[in-house]
Amino acid sequence: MILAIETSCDDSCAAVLTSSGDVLSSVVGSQVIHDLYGGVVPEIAARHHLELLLPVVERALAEASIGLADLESVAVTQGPGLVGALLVGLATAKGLAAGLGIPLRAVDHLHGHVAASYLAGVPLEPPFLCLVASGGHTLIANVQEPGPNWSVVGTTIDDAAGEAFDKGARILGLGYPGGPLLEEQAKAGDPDAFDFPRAKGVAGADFSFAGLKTSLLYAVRDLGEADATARRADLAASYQAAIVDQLVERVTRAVDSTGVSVVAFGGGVAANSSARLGLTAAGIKLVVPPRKYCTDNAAMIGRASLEVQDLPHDAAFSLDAYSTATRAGR
Amino acid sequence: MEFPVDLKTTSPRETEAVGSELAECFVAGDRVILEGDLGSGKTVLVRGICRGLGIAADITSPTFTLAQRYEEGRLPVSHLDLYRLEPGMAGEDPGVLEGEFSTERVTLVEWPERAPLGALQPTYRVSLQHLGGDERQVLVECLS
Repeated sequence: MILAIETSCDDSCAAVLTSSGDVLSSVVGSQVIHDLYGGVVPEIAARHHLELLLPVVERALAEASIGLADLESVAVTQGPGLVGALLVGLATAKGLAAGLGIPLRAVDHLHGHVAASYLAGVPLEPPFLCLVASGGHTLIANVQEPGPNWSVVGTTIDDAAGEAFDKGARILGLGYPGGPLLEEQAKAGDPDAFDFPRAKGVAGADFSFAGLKTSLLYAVRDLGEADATARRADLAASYQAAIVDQLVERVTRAVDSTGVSVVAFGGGVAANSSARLGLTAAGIKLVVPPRKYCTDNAAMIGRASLEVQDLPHDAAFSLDAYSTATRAGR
Repeated sequence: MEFPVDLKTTSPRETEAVGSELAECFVAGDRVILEGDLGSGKTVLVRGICRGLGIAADITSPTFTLAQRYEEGRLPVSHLDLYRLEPGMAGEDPGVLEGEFSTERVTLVEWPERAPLGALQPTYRVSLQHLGGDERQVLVECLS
Protein backbone atom coordinates (compact mmCIF):
# COMPACT_ATOMS: atom_id res chain seq x y z
CA MET A 1 0.00 0.00 0.00
CA ILE A 2 1.11 3.54 -0.84
CA LEU A 3 0.20 6.63 1.18
CA ALA A 4 0.36 9.78 -0.97
CA ILE A 5 0.45 13.35 0.32
CA GLU A 6 -0.07 16.57 -1.66
CA THR A 7 0.08 20.09 -0.14
CA SER A 8 1.40 22.23 -3.00
CA CYS A 9 -1.19 24.99 -2.76
CA ASP A 10 -4.62 25.40 -1.17
CA ASP A 11 -5.67 21.85 -0.31
CA SER A 12 -4.27 19.33 2.13
CA CYS A 13 -4.70 16.00 0.32
CA ALA A 14 -3.96 12.35 1.12
CA ALA A 15 -4.71 9.12 -0.74
CA VAL A 16 -4.13 5.41 -0.39
CA LEU A 17 -3.30 3.30 -3.43
CA THR A 18 -2.38 -0.33 -3.90
CA SER A 19 1.11 -1.06 -5.15
CA SER A 20 -0.37 -1.61 -8.62
CA GLY A 21 -1.95 1.87 -8.62
CA ASP A 22 -5.60 1.22 -7.75
CA VAL A 23 -7.00 4.13 -5.71
CA LEU A 24 -8.54 2.97 -2.42
CA SER A 25 -9.21 6.46 -1.03
CA SER A 26 -8.58 10.09 -1.93
CA VAL A 27 -9.35 12.80 0.63
CA VAL A 28 -9.07 16.62 0.54
CA GLY A 29 -8.95 19.03 3.48
CA SER A 30 -12.48 20.41 3.14
CA GLN A 31 -13.81 16.90 3.88
CA VAL A 32 -12.30 16.80 7.38
CA ILE A 33 -13.08 20.37 8.51
CA HIS A 34 -16.56 19.20 9.55
CA ASP A 35 -15.14 16.15 11.39
CA LEU A 36 -12.71 18.39 13.26
CA TYR A 37 -14.97 21.22 14.26
CA GLY A 38 -18.38 19.54 14.37
CA GLY A 39 -21.37 21.54 13.22
CA VAL A 40 -19.67 24.86 13.83
CA VAL A 41 -17.27 25.42 10.95
CA PRO A 42 -14.86 28.17 11.93
CA GLU A 43 -13.78 30.91 9.57
CA ILE A 44 -10.96 28.81 8.31
CA ALA A 45 -9.59 29.52 4.87
CA ALA A 46 -7.57 27.09 2.82
CA ARG A 47 -3.89 26.36 3.45
CA HIS A 48 -4.19 25.32 7.09
CA HIS A 49 -2.08 22.32 6.19
CA LEU A 50 -0.55 21.99 9.63
CA GLU A 51 -3.95 21.43 11.29
CA LEU A 52 -5.65 19.58 8.45
CA LEU A 53 -3.06 17.19 7.06
CA LEU A 54 -2.92 14.56 9.82
CA PRO A 55 -6.75 14.28 10.05
CA VAL A 56 -6.81 14.01 6.24
CA VAL A 57 -4.22 11.19 6.38
CA GLU A 58 -6.22 9.41 9.10
CA ARG A 59 -9.39 9.64 7.07
CA ALA A 60 -7.64 8.37 3.92
CA LEU A 61 -6.37 5.33 5.87
CA ALA A 62 -9.81 4.74 7.42
CA GLU A 63 -11.62 4.96 4.07
CA ALA A 64 -9.14 2.46 2.63
CA SER A 65 -9.73 0.23 5.69
CA ILE A 66 -6.02 -0.06 6.43
CA GLY A 67 -3.67 0.95 9.24
CA LEU A 68 -0.24 2.57 9.24
CA ALA A 69 1.37 -0.87 9.55
CA ASP A 70 -0.02 -1.83 6.13
CA LEU A 71 1.89 0.94 4.35
CA GLU A 72 4.84 -0.01 2.15
CA SER A 73 5.86 3.46 0.92
CA VAL A 74 5.05 7.17 1.25
CA ALA A 75 4.82 9.48 -1.78
CA VAL A 76 4.88 13.26 -1.46
CA THR A 77 4.74 16.33 -3.69
CA GLN A 78 8.12 18.11 -3.63
CA GLY A 79 7.15 21.02 -5.94
CA PRO A 80 6.37 23.22 -7.75
CA GLY A 81 4.09 25.14 -5.42
CA LEU A 82 3.98 27.35 -2.38
CA VAL A 83 7.09 26.47 -0.36
CA GLY A 84 5.46 27.12 3.04
CA ALA A 85 2.68 24.68 2.11
CA LEU A 86 4.92 22.04 0.51
CA LEU A 87 7.13 21.90 3.62
CA VAL A 88 4.22 20.70 5.78
CA GLY A 89 3.59 17.79 3.43
CA LEU A 90 7.30 16.99 3.18
CA ALA A 91 7.83 17.03 6.95
CA THR A 92 4.79 14.82 7.51
CA ALA A 93 5.84 12.35 4.82
CA LYS A 94 9.44 12.19 6.10
CA GLY A 95 8.19 11.59 9.64
CA LEU A 96 5.85 8.80 8.60
CA ALA A 97 8.43 7.10 6.39
CA ALA A 98 11.11 7.28 9.08
CA GLY A 99 8.77 6.18 11.86
CA LEU A 100 7.45 3.23 9.87
CA GLY A 101 10.83 2.34 8.34
CA ILE A 102 9.47 2.48 4.78
CA PRO A 103 10.78 4.26 1.67
CA LEU A 104 9.92 7.81 0.61
CA ARG A 105 9.30 8.87 -2.98
CA ALA A 106 9.37 12.51 -4.14
CA VAL A 107 6.90 13.44 -6.88
CA ASP A 108 6.72 16.52 -9.09
CA HIS A 109 3.24 18.07 -8.94
CA LEU A 110 3.04 18.34 -12.73
CA HIS A 111 4.10 14.71 -13.11
CA GLY A 112 1.12 14.02 -10.83
CA HIS A 113 -1.26 15.81 -13.19
CA VAL A 114 0.17 13.83 -16.12
CA ALA A 115 -0.11 10.53 -14.20
CA ALA A 116 -3.77 11.37 -13.35
CA SER A 117 -4.41 10.44 -17.00
CA TYR A 118 -4.01 6.79 -15.96
CA LEU A 119 -6.91 7.22 -13.50
CA ALA A 120 -9.41 7.97 -16.30
CA GLY A 121 -10.72 4.41 -16.26
CA VAL A 122 -9.74 3.70 -19.87
CA PRO A 123 -6.69 1.79 -21.08
CA LEU A 124 -3.92 4.33 -21.75
CA GLU A 125 -0.27 3.81 -22.57
CA PRO A 126 2.43 6.11 -23.93
CA PRO A 127 2.84 7.66 -26.35
CA PHE A 128 0.22 10.29 -25.53
CA LEU A 129 0.05 14.04 -25.04
CA CYS A 130 -1.33 15.56 -21.85
CA LEU A 131 -2.85 19.04 -21.70
CA VAL A 132 -2.67 20.21 -18.08
CA ALA A 133 -4.75 23.39 -17.66
CA SER A 134 -5.43 24.67 -14.17
CA GLY A 135 -5.31 27.91 -12.20
CA GLY A 136 -1.58 27.64 -11.66
CA HIS A 137 -0.34 25.71 -14.70
CA THR A 138 -0.94 25.36 -18.42
CA LEU A 139 1.23 23.06 -20.49
CA ILE A 140 1.22 20.25 -23.01
CA ALA A 141 3.35 17.25 -22.03
CA ASN A 142 4.63 14.71 -24.54
CA VAL A 143 4.68 11.35 -22.76
CA GLN A 144 6.77 8.93 -24.81
CA GLU A 145 7.42 6.41 -22.04
CA PRO A 146 6.12 5.78 -18.51
CA GLY A 147 7.92 7.89 -15.90
CA PRO A 148 8.75 11.48 -15.08
CA ASN A 149 10.86 12.09 -18.18
CA TRP A 150 8.11 13.52 -20.36
CA SER A 151 8.96 16.62 -22.35
CA VAL A 152 7.12 19.94 -22.60
CA VAL A 153 5.73 20.69 -26.07
CA GLY A 154 4.23 24.02 -25.03
CA THR A 155 3.64 26.05 -21.91
CA THR A 156 2.14 29.40 -20.95
CA ILE A 157 4.42 32.39 -21.18
CA ASP A 158 2.30 34.42 -18.73
CA ASP A 159 -1.05 33.49 -17.14
CA ALA A 160 -2.51 30.00 -16.82
CA ALA A 161 -5.78 29.09 -18.57
CA GLY A 162 -7.68 28.59 -15.31
CA GLU A 163 -6.43 31.95 -14.15
CA ALA A 164 -7.69 33.52 -17.40
CA PHE A 165 -11.15 32.16 -16.57
CA ASP A 166 -10.98 33.52 -13.03
CA LYS A 167 -9.63 36.93 -13.96
CA GLY A 168 -12.21 37.24 -16.76
CA ALA A 169 -14.93 36.49 -14.23
CA ARG A 170 -13.45 39.11 -11.93
CA ILE A 171 -13.50 41.75 -14.71
CA LEU A 172 -17.14 40.83 -15.48
CA GLY A 173 -18.07 41.08 -11.80
CA LEU A 174 -19.09 37.43 -11.52
CA GLY A 175 -17.25 36.56 -8.29
CA TYR A 176 -14.62 34.02 -7.32
CA PRO A 177 -13.76 31.27 -8.09
CA GLY A 178 -14.93 32.42 -11.47
CA GLY A 179 -14.39 29.52 -13.90
CA PRO A 180 -17.74 27.79 -13.38
CA LEU A 181 -19.56 31.16 -13.07
CA LEU A 182 -18.12 32.36 -16.36
CA GLU A 183 -19.04 29.11 -18.09
CA GLU A 184 -22.61 29.41 -16.81
CA GLN A 185 -22.88 33.03 -17.96
CA ALA A 186 -21.44 32.11 -21.38
CA LYS A 187 -24.23 29.63 -22.09
CA ALA A 188 -26.66 32.48 -22.74
CA GLY A 189 -24.24 34.50 -24.88
CA ASP A 190 -22.98 34.73 -28.45
CA PRO A 191 -19.35 33.53 -28.76
CA ASP A 192 -18.91 35.64 -31.93
CA ALA A 193 -20.23 38.88 -30.42
CA PHE A 194 -16.76 40.20 -29.55
CA ASP A 195 -13.51 39.49 -31.33
CA PHE A 196 -10.97 38.71 -28.59
CA PRO A 197 -7.33 37.86 -29.42
CA ARG A 198 -6.09 34.25 -29.73
CA ALA A 199 -2.39 35.05 -29.12
CA LYS A 200 -1.59 34.63 -32.82
CA GLY A 201 1.88 36.08 -32.28
CA VAL A 202 2.90 33.26 -29.92
CA ALA A 203 4.65 30.52 -31.84
CA GLY A 204 4.35 26.74 -31.62
CA ALA A 205 2.32 25.20 -28.84
CA ASP A 206 3.01 27.93 -26.27
CA PHE A 207 0.10 29.76 -24.66
CA SER A 208 -0.47 33.39 -23.70
CA PHE A 209 -3.55 34.72 -21.93
CA ALA A 210 -2.36 38.07 -20.54
CA GLY A 211 -3.30 40.01 -23.70
CA LEU A 212 -6.75 38.42 -23.77
CA LYS A 213 -7.38 39.53 -20.20
CA THR A 214 -6.41 43.10 -21.09
CA SER A 215 -8.69 43.17 -24.15
CA LEU A 216 -11.65 42.05 -22.06
CA LEU A 217 -10.84 44.85 -19.63
CA TYR A 218 -10.82 47.39 -22.48
CA ALA A 219 -14.04 46.02 -23.99
CA VAL A 220 -15.77 46.42 -20.63
CA ARG A 221 -14.41 49.96 -20.22
CA ASP A 222 -15.42 50.97 -23.75
CA LEU A 223 -18.96 49.67 -23.23
CA GLY A 224 -19.43 51.47 -19.91
CA GLU A 225 -20.88 49.85 -16.82
CA ALA A 226 -24.54 49.66 -17.91
CA ASP A 227 -23.85 48.19 -21.37
CA ALA A 228 -21.15 45.85 -20.05
CA THR A 229 -23.62 44.44 -17.55
CA ALA A 230 -26.35 44.14 -20.18
CA ARG A 231 -24.01 42.30 -22.53
CA ARG A 232 -22.30 40.19 -19.88
CA ALA A 233 -23.38 36.89 -21.43
CA ASP A 234 -21.97 37.88 -24.84
CA LEU A 235 -18.73 39.05 -23.25
CA ALA A 236 -18.41 35.83 -21.26
CA ALA A 237 -19.20 33.64 -24.28
CA SER A 238 -16.75 35.47 -26.55
CA TYR A 239 -14.02 35.45 -23.89
CA GLN A 240 -14.50 31.74 -23.19
CA ALA A 241 -14.42 31.03 -26.94
CA ALA A 242 -11.06 32.84 -27.18
CA ILE A 243 -9.59 30.69 -24.37
CA VAL A 244 -10.98 27.46 -25.81
CA ASP A 245 -9.87 28.30 -29.37
CA GLN A 246 -6.34 28.88 -28.10
CA LEU A 247 -6.32 25.55 -26.22
CA VAL A 248 -7.64 23.73 -29.31
CA GLU A 249 -5.19 25.43 -31.69
CA ARG A 250 -2.14 24.69 -29.50
CA VAL A 251 -3.15 21.07 -28.92
CA THR A 252 -3.74 20.64 -32.66
CA ARG A 253 -0.28 22.08 -33.38
CA ALA A 254 1.23 19.75 -30.75
CA VAL A 255 -0.50 16.73 -32.33
CA ASP A 256 0.77 17.77 -35.77
CA SER A 257 4.35 18.40 -34.63
CA THR A 258 4.70 15.23 -32.54
CA GLY A 259 2.54 12.81 -34.55
CA VAL A 260 0.96 11.70 -31.25
CA SER A 261 -2.81 11.62 -31.61
CA VAL A 262 -4.13 10.63 -28.15
CA VAL A 263 -4.50 13.60 -25.77
CA ALA A 264 -5.27 13.36 -22.06
CA PHE A 265 -6.78 16.48 -20.50
CA GLY A 266 -6.25 17.31 -16.81
CA GLY A 267 -6.30 20.25 -14.41
CA GLY A 268 -9.39 22.14 -13.27
CA VAL A 269 -10.11 23.55 -16.74
CA ALA A 270 -10.91 19.99 -17.89
CA ALA A 271 -14.20 20.46 -15.99
CA ASN A 272 -15.19 23.12 -18.56
CA SER A 273 -17.52 21.41 -21.02
CA SER A 274 -16.91 23.99 -23.74
CA ALA A 275 -13.17 23.16 -23.64
CA ARG A 276 -13.82 19.41 -23.83
CA LEU A 277 -16.32 19.85 -26.67
CA GLY A 278 -13.97 22.17 -28.57
CA LEU A 279 -11.12 19.64 -28.43
CA THR A 280 -13.38 16.74 -29.41
CA ALA A 281 -14.91 18.76 -32.28
CA ALA A 282 -11.39 19.39 -33.60
CA GLY A 283 -10.99 15.63 -34.01
CA ILE A 284 -8.77 15.13 -30.94
CA LYS A 285 -8.94 11.67 -29.31
CA LEU A 286 -9.54 12.91 -25.77
CA VAL A 287 -9.04 11.09 -22.45
CA VAL A 288 -10.40 12.97 -19.41
CA PRO A 289 -10.02 11.65 -15.84
CA PRO A 290 -12.91 12.14 -13.38
CA ARG A 291 -13.07 15.71 -12.01
CA LYS A 292 -11.76 14.67 -8.56
CA TYR A 293 -8.49 13.61 -10.24
CA CYS A 294 -8.29 16.77 -12.41
CA THR A 295 -8.20 19.29 -9.56
CA ASP A 296 -5.37 18.98 -7.01
CA ASN A 297 -5.48 15.58 -5.29
CA ALA A 298 -3.12 13.03 -3.76
CA ALA A 299 -4.26 10.03 -5.80
CA MET A 300 -2.41 11.40 -8.81
CA ILE A 301 0.74 11.80 -6.69
CA GLY A 302 0.46 8.18 -5.58
CA ARG A 303 -0.05 7.04 -9.18
CA ALA A 304 2.98 9.07 -10.32
CA SER A 305 5.08 7.57 -7.51
CA LEU A 306 4.83 4.16 -9.23
CA GLU A 307 7.05 5.72 -11.89
CA VAL A 308 9.83 7.08 -9.65
CA GLN A 309 12.50 5.43 -7.50
CA ASP A 310 12.67 5.22 -3.71
CA LEU A 311 14.91 7.96 -2.31
CA PRO A 312 18.09 6.76 -0.61
CA HIS A 313 17.85 7.15 3.17
CA ASP A 314 20.00 10.32 3.46
CA ALA A 315 18.34 12.04 0.49
CA ALA A 316 14.91 11.34 1.98
CA PHE A 317 15.79 13.26 5.13
CA SER A 318 17.37 16.22 3.37
CA LEU A 319 14.59 16.51 0.77
CA ASP A 320 13.66 20.18 0.23
CA ALA A 321 10.70 21.81 -1.53
CA TYR A 322 10.99 23.75 -4.77
CA SER A 323 8.79 26.61 -5.92
CA THR A 324 8.89 26.90 -9.68
CA ALA A 325 9.19 24.65 -12.69
CA THR A 326 11.47 26.17 -15.27
CA ARG A 327 11.48 24.89 -18.77
CA ALA A 328 15.17 24.08 -18.43
CA GLY A 329 14.42 22.14 -15.25
CA ARG A 330 11.95 19.99 -17.07
CA MET B 1 18.19 55.72 -10.56
CA GLU B 2 16.77 58.92 -8.99
CA PHE B 3 13.56 58.51 -7.02
CA PRO B 4 10.75 59.13 -7.48
CA VAL B 5 10.75 57.82 -11.04
CA ASP B 6 7.67 59.00 -12.93
CA LEU B 7 7.51 58.19 -16.62
CA LYS B 8 5.35 56.96 -19.46
CA THR B 9 6.09 53.68 -21.26
CA THR B 10 4.63 52.88 -24.66
CA SER B 11 5.11 49.10 -24.81
CA PRO B 12 5.47 46.06 -22.52
CA ARG B 13 9.13 45.99 -23.58
CA GLU B 14 9.66 49.49 -22.18
CA THR B 15 7.85 48.63 -18.93
CA GLU B 16 10.08 45.56 -18.60
CA ALA B 17 13.17 47.76 -19.14
CA VAL B 18 12.12 50.01 -16.24
CA GLY B 19 11.97 46.90 -14.05
CA SER B 20 15.46 45.79 -15.12
CA GLU B 21 16.93 49.19 -14.32
CA LEU B 22 15.15 49.31 -10.96
CA ALA B 23 16.57 45.90 -10.04
CA GLU B 24 20.09 47.35 -10.02
CA CYS B 25 19.13 49.37 -6.89
CA PHE B 26 17.90 46.36 -4.93
CA VAL B 27 19.61 44.86 -1.89
CA ALA B 28 18.68 41.80 0.17
CA GLY B 29 15.63 42.45 2.34
CA ASP B 30 14.01 44.95 -0.04
CA ARG B 31 10.23 44.69 -0.19
CA VAL B 32 8.48 46.15 -3.18
CA ILE B 33 4.74 46.69 -3.30
CA LEU B 34 3.16 46.74 -6.75
CA GLU B 35 -0.08 48.62 -7.32
CA GLY B 36 -2.20 48.78 -10.45
CA ASP B 37 -5.36 47.33 -12.00
CA LEU B 38 -5.60 43.97 -13.70
CA GLY B 39 -3.61 44.06 -16.92
CA SER B 40 -1.70 47.22 -15.99
CA GLY B 41 1.62 45.43 -16.42
CA LYS B 42 2.61 44.31 -12.92
CA THR B 43 3.82 40.91 -14.11
CA VAL B 44 5.69 42.54 -17.02
CA LEU B 45 7.49 44.83 -14.59
CA VAL B 46 8.33 41.88 -12.32
CA ARG B 47 9.75 40.04 -15.34
CA GLY B 48 11.98 43.08 -15.93
CA ILE B 49 13.14 43.10 -12.31
CA CYS B 50 13.97 39.37 -12.49
CA ARG B 51 15.87 39.80 -15.78
CA GLY B 52 17.78 42.69 -14.17
CA LEU B 53 18.77 40.37 -11.32
CA GLY B 54 19.98 37.74 -13.80
CA ILE B 55 17.02 35.37 -13.57
CA ALA B 56 16.33 33.69 -16.91
CA ALA B 57 13.33 31.54 -15.90
CA ASP B 58 9.82 32.06 -17.29
CA ILE B 59 8.07 34.54 -15.00
CA THR B 60 4.50 33.37 -14.58
CA SER B 61 1.66 34.73 -12.50
CA PRO B 62 1.63 33.82 -8.79
CA THR B 63 -2.12 34.44 -8.47
CA PHE B 64 -2.86 30.77 -7.78
CA THR B 65 0.30 29.64 -6.06
CA LEU B 66 0.33 32.90 -3.98
CA ALA B 67 4.13 32.97 -4.18
CA GLN B 68 6.76 31.99 -6.73
CA ARG B 69 10.44 31.82 -5.83
CA TYR B 70 13.37 32.42 -8.15
CA GLU B 71 16.69 31.44 -6.67
CA GLU B 72 19.23 31.74 -9.47
CA GLY B 73 19.80 35.51 -9.66
CA ARG B 74 22.07 38.03 -7.94
CA LEU B 75 19.47 38.04 -5.12
CA PRO B 76 16.78 35.41 -4.47
CA VAL B 77 13.30 36.70 -5.33
CA SER B 78 9.83 35.93 -3.97
CA HIS B 79 6.97 37.16 -6.18
CA LEU B 80 3.68 37.24 -4.28
CA ASP B 81 0.09 37.94 -5.30
CA LEU B 82 -2.15 38.19 -2.24
CA TYR B 83 -5.39 38.71 -4.20
CA ARG B 84 -6.86 35.36 -3.18
CA LEU B 85 -6.42 36.07 0.52
CA GLU B 86 -8.97 37.72 2.77
CA PRO B 87 -8.10 41.24 4.00
CA GLY B 88 -5.47 41.06 6.76
CA MET B 89 -4.94 37.38 5.82
CA ALA B 90 -8.00 36.55 7.96
CA GLY B 91 -8.54 32.82 8.50
CA GLU B 92 -5.10 32.13 7.09
CA ASP B 93 -2.16 30.27 8.55
CA PRO B 94 0.35 33.17 8.80
CA GLY B 95 3.28 30.73 8.72
CA VAL B 96 2.47 29.75 5.17
CA LEU B 97 4.11 32.89 3.71
CA GLU B 98 6.72 33.50 6.41
CA GLY B 99 9.66 32.26 4.36
CA GLU B 100 8.84 34.65 1.53
CA PHE B 101 9.64 37.66 3.73
CA SER B 102 13.12 36.50 4.75
CA THR B 103 15.65 39.34 4.90
CA GLU B 104 17.88 37.42 2.50
CA ARG B 105 15.36 37.86 -0.31
CA VAL B 106 13.84 40.57 -2.46
CA THR B 107 10.06 40.30 -2.01
CA LEU B 108 7.72 41.66 -4.69
CA VAL B 109 4.10 41.92 -3.54
CA GLU B 110 0.95 42.40 -5.62
CA TRP B 111 -2.27 43.21 -3.71
CA PRO B 112 -0.24 44.22 -0.60
CA GLU B 113 -3.41 45.57 1.06
CA ARG B 114 -4.40 41.97 1.85
CA ALA B 115 -1.35 41.52 4.09
CA PRO B 116 -1.71 42.22 7.82
CA LEU B 117 -1.37 45.94 8.53
CA GLY B 118 2.23 47.00 9.12
CA ALA B 119 3.59 43.52 8.44
CA LEU B 120 5.03 44.38 5.06
CA GLN B 121 7.29 47.37 5.75
CA PRO B 122 7.89 48.09 2.06
CA THR B 123 11.06 49.78 0.84
CA TYR B 124 9.69 50.67 -2.62
CA ARG B 125 6.26 51.33 -4.06
CA VAL B 126 5.57 50.85 -7.77
CA SER B 127 2.29 52.17 -9.20
CA LEU B 128 1.19 51.30 -12.73
CA GLN B 129 -1.65 53.01 -14.53
CA HIS B 130 -3.39 52.27 -17.84
CA LEU B 131 -3.20 55.16 -20.28
CA GLY B 132 -5.01 53.24 -23.03
CA GLY B 133 -3.53 50.86 -25.61
CA ASP B 134 -0.03 49.78 -24.61
CA GLU B 135 0.75 53.05 -22.78
CA ARG B 136 1.36 52.93 -19.03
CA GLN B 137 2.30 55.53 -16.42
CA VAL B 138 4.99 54.08 -14.15
CA LEU B 139 5.68 55.66 -10.76
CA VAL B 140 8.41 54.27 -8.50
CA GLU B 141 8.92 55.69 -5.00
CA CYS B 142 11.64 54.78 -2.53
CA LEU B 143 10.09 54.49 0.93
CA SER B 144 13.13 53.73 3.06
